[in-house]
Amino acid sequence: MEKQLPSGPFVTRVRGLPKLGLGVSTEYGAHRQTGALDPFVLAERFPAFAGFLEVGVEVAKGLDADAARWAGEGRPTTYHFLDINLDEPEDFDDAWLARVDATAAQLKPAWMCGDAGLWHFGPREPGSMLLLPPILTDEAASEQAAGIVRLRERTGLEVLPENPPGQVFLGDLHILDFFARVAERADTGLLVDCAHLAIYQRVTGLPWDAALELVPFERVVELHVAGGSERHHDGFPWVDDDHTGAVLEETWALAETFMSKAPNLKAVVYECERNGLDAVVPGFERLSALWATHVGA
Amino acid sequence: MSARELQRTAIRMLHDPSFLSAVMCNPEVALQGLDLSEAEKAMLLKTDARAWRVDEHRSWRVLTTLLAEFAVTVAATRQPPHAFDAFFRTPFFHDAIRTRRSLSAAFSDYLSSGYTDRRMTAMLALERAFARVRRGERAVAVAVPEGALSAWEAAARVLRRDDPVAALLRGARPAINLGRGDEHVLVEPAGASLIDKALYDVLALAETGASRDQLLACIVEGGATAAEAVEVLADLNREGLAELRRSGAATD
Repeated sequence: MEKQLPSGPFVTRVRGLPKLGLGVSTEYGAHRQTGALDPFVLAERFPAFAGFLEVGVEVAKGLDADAARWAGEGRPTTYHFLDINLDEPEDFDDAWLARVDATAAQLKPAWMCGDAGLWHFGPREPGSMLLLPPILTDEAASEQAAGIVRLRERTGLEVLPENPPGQVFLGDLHILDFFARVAERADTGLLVDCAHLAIYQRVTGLPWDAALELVPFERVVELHVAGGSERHHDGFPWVDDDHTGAVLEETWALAETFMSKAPNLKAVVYECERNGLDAVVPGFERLSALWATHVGA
Repeated sequence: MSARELQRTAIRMLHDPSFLSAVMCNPEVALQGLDLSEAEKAMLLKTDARAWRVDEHRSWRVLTTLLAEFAVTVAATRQPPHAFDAFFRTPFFHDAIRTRRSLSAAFSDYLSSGYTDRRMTAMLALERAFARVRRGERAVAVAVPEGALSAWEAAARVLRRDDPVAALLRGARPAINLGRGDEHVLVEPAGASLIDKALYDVLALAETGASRDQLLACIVEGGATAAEAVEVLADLNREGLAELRRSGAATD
């Protein structure tokens, strides 16, 4: 069943989205892992850092007790999908859509978002989950955009594509060019993952601020900031997007750039759910200072 | 040219080091027959081969899910779990990726192709049926050697005391003892149960898309009168077991 969206172009619709501020991410069972961040403790001790919870959702698993409790208490959320290949029409099966509807009804998210890449190969089933970047071509951008429109019309929620992480990128477009085309063709907003973008720029041998002139900043609604670990494989340097506490300086630079240039920015997620409270406070404090300087209330 | 074909080629390169090497060293042969333009092939070749292998545990993560789903079958092969990594180098894996087929189905085909041991094939028949029901089929009827269901249940209890893959890695190899005759099992979402051969024959025939008349004849052959056969078929259809709609036959 399709829901009603506010009408008009995205630059009009975005005015109706709430300003959520700083938030934290989760996925099924995340906060029950040893040493993991408890969002309720964060919210109690540092309410400005827990303005919302971004819930990673595989509909096959549903919501864990923490996400259900957070939503049940009427706290703000966003819905981050983990199980849809936007560019595959056959992936939008009725059973999945029905469970998305039910989960969204429980979460009441401000919007949907998620990595616009390949979440699973073949039919959606255990073991096939992975996350690969999209092929960065004009053809693929149109296919992603079509999926975003499909999902938005079904759910009645804005759907913000996110740039995925990766070590191998294929295609003839810069990733920022690719997502600019996706956003325009779907007439949607963007979730820019600054950590993923920093990894992309490093892997492709580009400076951290390459191609920023291609970004439609007015479409940027959400940012992600996360730590990563620098590693080597047979002498090949790479960054593991493991959400540790060490945020690359390029990631911070990108976060500040986007915060200063995106007039419709509504939310920033610090993806630090695997770390204890004491470890994440400095990162939140830095984000809070940037937010106050560039975005404000 | 096709972004989809390029994406699927990338998945194959990520999971099969031999295919990765073949693409990098002999692309004209390795990529022959794929719907890839010269520009797309060049995209693959200009990447650093080491970047494809940074995640050394990628294939193992996929394999553990497959091993867990077919744990008793794998145990029955008496092979160490890591031996099944060879799956990623077979046409079963590569064709599944190219055609967007279920990896679970492809893995079960791979298991079936390599082993003829009676115990292993019996366990595979059951675990294939469980996999199909888990993925939404209403019910699956299978014919297996006598004692197979109870042997599978006992073995599954051993392997699933904790993590089945961990149990396999520790060398757990539960005994699987089968009789000389046959038995017939109906696997449904609620579980598996023995059924009589007459019912199995009807369900197996229904799965082939047989007509209503053919199914009625089968039920009569199983010992029912013509009137009873009509009632039996109606009951099976109401329970969703006879799949009559798929055959296009009229329903009661």
